[in-house]
Amino acid sequence: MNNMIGALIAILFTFGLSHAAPDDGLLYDKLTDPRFCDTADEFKNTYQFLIKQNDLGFTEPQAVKGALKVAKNCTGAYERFSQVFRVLQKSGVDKKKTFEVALEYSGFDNERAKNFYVLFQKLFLENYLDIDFSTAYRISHELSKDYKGDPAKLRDDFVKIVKYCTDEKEFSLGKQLCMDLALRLTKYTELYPNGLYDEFRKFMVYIQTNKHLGFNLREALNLSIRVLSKGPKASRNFRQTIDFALNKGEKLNLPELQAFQLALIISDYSFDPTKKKPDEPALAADAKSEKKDDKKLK
Amino acid sequence: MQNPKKKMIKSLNKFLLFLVTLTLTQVHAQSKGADLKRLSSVELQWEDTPGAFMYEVEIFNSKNKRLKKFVSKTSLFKFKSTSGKIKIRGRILDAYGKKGLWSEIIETTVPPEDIKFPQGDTKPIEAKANNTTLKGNVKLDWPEGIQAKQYAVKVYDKDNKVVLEKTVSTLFVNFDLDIGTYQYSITPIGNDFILGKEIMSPRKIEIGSAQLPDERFEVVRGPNNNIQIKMPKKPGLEIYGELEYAHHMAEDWAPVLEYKPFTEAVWSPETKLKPGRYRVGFWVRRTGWVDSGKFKHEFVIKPTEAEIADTTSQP
Repeated sequence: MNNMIGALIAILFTFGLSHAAPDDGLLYDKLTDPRFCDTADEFKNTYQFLIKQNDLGFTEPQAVKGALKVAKNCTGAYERFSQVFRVLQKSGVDKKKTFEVALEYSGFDNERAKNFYVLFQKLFLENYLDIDFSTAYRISHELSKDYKGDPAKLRDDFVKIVKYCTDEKEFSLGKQLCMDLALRLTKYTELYPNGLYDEFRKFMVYIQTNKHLGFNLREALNLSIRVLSKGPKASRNFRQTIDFALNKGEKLNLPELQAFQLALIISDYSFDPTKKKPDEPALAADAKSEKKDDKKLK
Repeated sequence: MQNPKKKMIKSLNKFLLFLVTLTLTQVHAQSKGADLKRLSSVELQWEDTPGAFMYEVEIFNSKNKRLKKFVSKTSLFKFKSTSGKIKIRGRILDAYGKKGLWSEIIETTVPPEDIKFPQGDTKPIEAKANNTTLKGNVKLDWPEGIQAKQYAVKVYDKDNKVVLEKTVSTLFVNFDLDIGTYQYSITPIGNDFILGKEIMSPRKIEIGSAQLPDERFEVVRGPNNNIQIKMPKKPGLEIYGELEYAHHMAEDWAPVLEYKPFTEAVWSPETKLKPGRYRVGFWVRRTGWVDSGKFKHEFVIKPTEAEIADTTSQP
């Protein structure tokens, strides 16, 4: 009996092994460790892609060499490479340079590469910001491979700010103005755990609707940039100070201009760059407390 | 029988006076002062009259002012005179000094002497055409003509057709001429507007071609914000052009299209140009001229979002 049980276990084990081989997931945890790369797929896809690019003029050994370089950049390298390559190729960039830049971006993470090919289109294409190639190319690099923060957050902020700024129902400003605004604001994206777009929009609405402030759009935008540059708490501090300083029930009860000046000073104090950046959990906690504060204000 | 003396005098009334030659030798009539008076040489042949011992001749100008009175031993009178219309009369003197009757007054003209260009100087008079006027400026000069008060200058083209004509009182004239080869002549004009002989200068005029001036090509935006270039309109000028392509981040320009010539009033980019950098160049051409400099304008053709999306969605 024991022998029979032992044989059955052996058969089941063998059967299980033979069927588990094609799908490792049945036996092992899915390999999410970024150190382990699907290099075969990356090589094959890249090689097939390069060999089809007739105008690139790659010989087979060159295509192999190129595919090897891409495959070396681990999982997702082909996707990053091909996306950047296609956008630049379609825009009329020199083939050799296209290959070089695409290869470079295959070596970055997905979000960073995505920043390049998404933001480049937003900057360069006529139906978006329609700026010249050199500027679009330079800014795209600055906002992707040269960006030190979270590329996805930056991309999200940039795209949303531009859309909000150019939207006919919103600011309906010129493309150049909107690009400048987006570039100036996104310098501070990293200070905001979830990006600054929502805070920007909320603060703009506050400035434009506050009967005491009465700024035109340009002044409102400049004030927004100044306040938001001081971090996620600055706009709340500004609003609270205005409310406090203008409150007739308070002893302070300043005139509007003085109240505004005081609010500016207080909001400027919202960011202390000499202090160390807290850990991620602490940042998240801050964000939560800020949301509560916002609710209180409402 | 008729008295031979009377017959002689009578015949003098009908004497034949004709100009044999007018030479243009430079004559310096000596005067008491240091001035030299340059006069035209005149020779008059009088009909030999039997019994004539000498001839007395009087010369008047057109205003009947006597210019000269002299006695000649022969019937060939040689004298110096100002140019213009002159009047002459003469009578014979016999061996006894008896004078016959004055002849009728004969009117004739004394032209100024021929212009004498320096021999052997055949070096062309050269000029380059001006970029703005499209003509070359030349200064033509010539030696002073004896008894010439003015000079008629004629410029002939290669087909011997007079292209310019001017009368001047100076010994030079400036002309603006189109590109080509020319010759010129000088005709001296004396008193009473009596023309001398037209003399061709041994020196040719050569106006060399020059580069046409750069034309202004106005770049404007069309109805769909597309680029447009307005062509200049000038008679005799043809517009040539070319369209070149370069990738972004590359410097090599490759020809795309040529316009030989471009005949439309306005140029705009051809549709369906592939994305990249373009450079359109235009210049003007005219026969006999060096082409103008190129007007160049660069522009960029961008892909549409749909075109990018189409490629990015590919596997």
